[in-house]
Amino acid sequence: MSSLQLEGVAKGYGSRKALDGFSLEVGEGERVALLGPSGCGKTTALRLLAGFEAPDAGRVLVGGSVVAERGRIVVPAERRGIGMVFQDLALWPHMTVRGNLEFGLRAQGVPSQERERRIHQMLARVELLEYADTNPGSLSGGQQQRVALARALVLRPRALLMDEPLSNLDEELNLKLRAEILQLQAEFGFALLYVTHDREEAFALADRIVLVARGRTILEGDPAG
Amino acid sequence: MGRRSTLRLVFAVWALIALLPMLAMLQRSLMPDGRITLSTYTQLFASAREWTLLGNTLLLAGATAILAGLLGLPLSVLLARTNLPGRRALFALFVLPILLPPSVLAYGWVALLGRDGPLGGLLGSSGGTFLFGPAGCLIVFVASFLPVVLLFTAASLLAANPRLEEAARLCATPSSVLLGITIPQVLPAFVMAVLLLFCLVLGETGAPTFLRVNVYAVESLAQFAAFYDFSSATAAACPLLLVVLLAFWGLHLLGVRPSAVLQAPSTGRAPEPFQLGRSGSRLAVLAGALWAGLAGLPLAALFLRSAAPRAYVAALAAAGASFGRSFSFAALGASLIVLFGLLIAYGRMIGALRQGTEMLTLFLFAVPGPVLGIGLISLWNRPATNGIYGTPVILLLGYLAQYVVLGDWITKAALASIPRSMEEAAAAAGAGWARRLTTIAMPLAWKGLAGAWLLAFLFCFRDTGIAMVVYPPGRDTLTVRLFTMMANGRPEVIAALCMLILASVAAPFAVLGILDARSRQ
Repeated sequence: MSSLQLEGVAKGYGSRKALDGFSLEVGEGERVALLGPSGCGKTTALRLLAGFEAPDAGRVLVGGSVVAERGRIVVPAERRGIGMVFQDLALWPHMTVRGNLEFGLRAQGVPSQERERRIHQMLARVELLEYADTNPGSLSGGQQQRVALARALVLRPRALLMDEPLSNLDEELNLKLRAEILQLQAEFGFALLYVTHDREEAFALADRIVLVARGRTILEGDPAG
Repeated sequence: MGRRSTLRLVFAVWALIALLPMLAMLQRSLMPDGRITLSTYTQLFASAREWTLLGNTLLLAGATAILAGLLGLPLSVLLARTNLPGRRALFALFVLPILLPPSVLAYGWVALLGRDGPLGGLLGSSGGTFLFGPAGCLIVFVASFLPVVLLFTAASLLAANPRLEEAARLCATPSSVLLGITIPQVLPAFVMAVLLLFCLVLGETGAPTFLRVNVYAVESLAQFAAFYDFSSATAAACPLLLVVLLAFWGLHLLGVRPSAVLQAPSTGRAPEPFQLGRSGSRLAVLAGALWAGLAGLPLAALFLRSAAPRAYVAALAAAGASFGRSFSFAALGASLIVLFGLLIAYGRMIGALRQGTEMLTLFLFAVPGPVLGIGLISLWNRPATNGIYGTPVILLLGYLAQYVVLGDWITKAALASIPRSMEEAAAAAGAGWARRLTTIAMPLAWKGLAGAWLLAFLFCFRDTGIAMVVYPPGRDTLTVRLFTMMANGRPEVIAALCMLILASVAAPFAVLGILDARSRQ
């Protein structure tokens, strides 16, 4: 069964068409990269899957169920079980690292002891335990990336959306975090939809690459093939 | 002289214009007869009345800040971040009172609930006598200064990074996102607004005098205007200055910095509005009713009272010259404010001035107008400087000292929106900094500069606190004339004058709205 699915989706902003009859399928545990130039509609596809916007036409499915169709959001973002890492990370500056992880667990009604256990486990996994009570703004770029990953994964999402999260990092850190993302994906088994304009990054991270231009799929295939 | 030195010099000139009056006032109160003595202070504070007065003033300002804060935070969210029907129009209506002297609303309330007012009969034979006391003053102040909370909080809400909310929307309901992410983001702006509002209330004289509430600023003014006891007037002004200083120290301790409070939006995309669903229409009606209750009904009562055309003819005959003076003084003041504000903002942008300078311009905005006025007189009332003291120049210096923050903040936002590369390209082409500023930055930021000028004009036009103290003999401004007429003028003529003031501020305000709408397109 597909974890994430876009079926003939169209989305426009004023006179500009971001997506035009775009379709995409990401299987359970699969790693897919959306590759394309700026403004080709990659981020719009992520926003539709996340539940921030509704498509003008077509359907959005998560876990086989319709979550949005034709201008209507059927299942809101918070009930889709999807995690996301943003390009600017969007770490909440008024909360500590622990607070960033705890917010979602609390909102989902996870009991206090279980919350503590999961936060501890996740922070230990990303080697940030000693920074639990630190403000994320005082961490390094790489550490902030790991907080963003931990914040998304502590909720055990069925799929993780990543919107060019490594684009602002130097090459060494970029390579290190790619490896970390692959390890975490193998460990937790979530479906990964990774948006990038960097060909090398897409080839390193994905089982399958979807090339997008002007809101449509141009080419799709296995990077190894 | 280089760019940095020139911009630092400009700031130093402004700081001298703004701070020397305070120092002169302190010196005058400490050396009434040439020798240092605390006698003026000891006499003043030996009286229990002074302490009671100060306590009442702080209580009134505190109550206004709390009430306006309680109303302002939810209202800001409702008007700035939801899909409430008619939210733009409602926002403009709620902001309108800040452009009027509070005495206009005070007069409106009395026109509404007084014995002859349209709703006066509902209150029995006593009419709206409760208005003449702290309760009436509180209502007028909340209506007049609620816009401060709305403007700061709404600006902060709109500048927030939408990604922070989206990250939360993946796991939490809209109400949890609002309470857990959105509101904590704007708390610094909200706290700053409430403290600023508290300081602004401290300096109000017109409405309390009309409503017969003796507050400290009125006492200071009375010592000066009624008894011409200048030492006592300066001594009475100093505690207010101290309270404002303490309030700003509190802001500093809380870690609230103006530069961090009002930032340009971090991404081009505006935050997604919270959906109100079916309750949207009911909330819009409630918000409309709240505005009507605070400002709409009193203004409507003024309109009804002034309905006869002859009232307007009489108002223009009595205050036409003051109108003309207010327009010209406000226009000159606004031009100075934008010029200095632009150079100060530019200086901060290129690193010639420290970020802390922003706190100083904001502090001067919060200093009670009469205190600043008394300071200006302390400094300039000397034979050698009669060319300043006896002319409108003293008023313009007061406007520049108090309202430069408007030019500073708005031009800063406008300059920040220009890509740095524009100016760098001009530099590469060989243009000096002054040429780059006037031919590249200013034309590109013209909408912001025009907006800053209009807002500065409105604040100078509505100013009562400084004008009441320093207006040159025989050259009163409109707000001073209104204040005088409120004591002994005919009600319909006063109401007509209030309506004329409303029309005068509403017209530029509408222009600001149109500019803003166009810039959004």
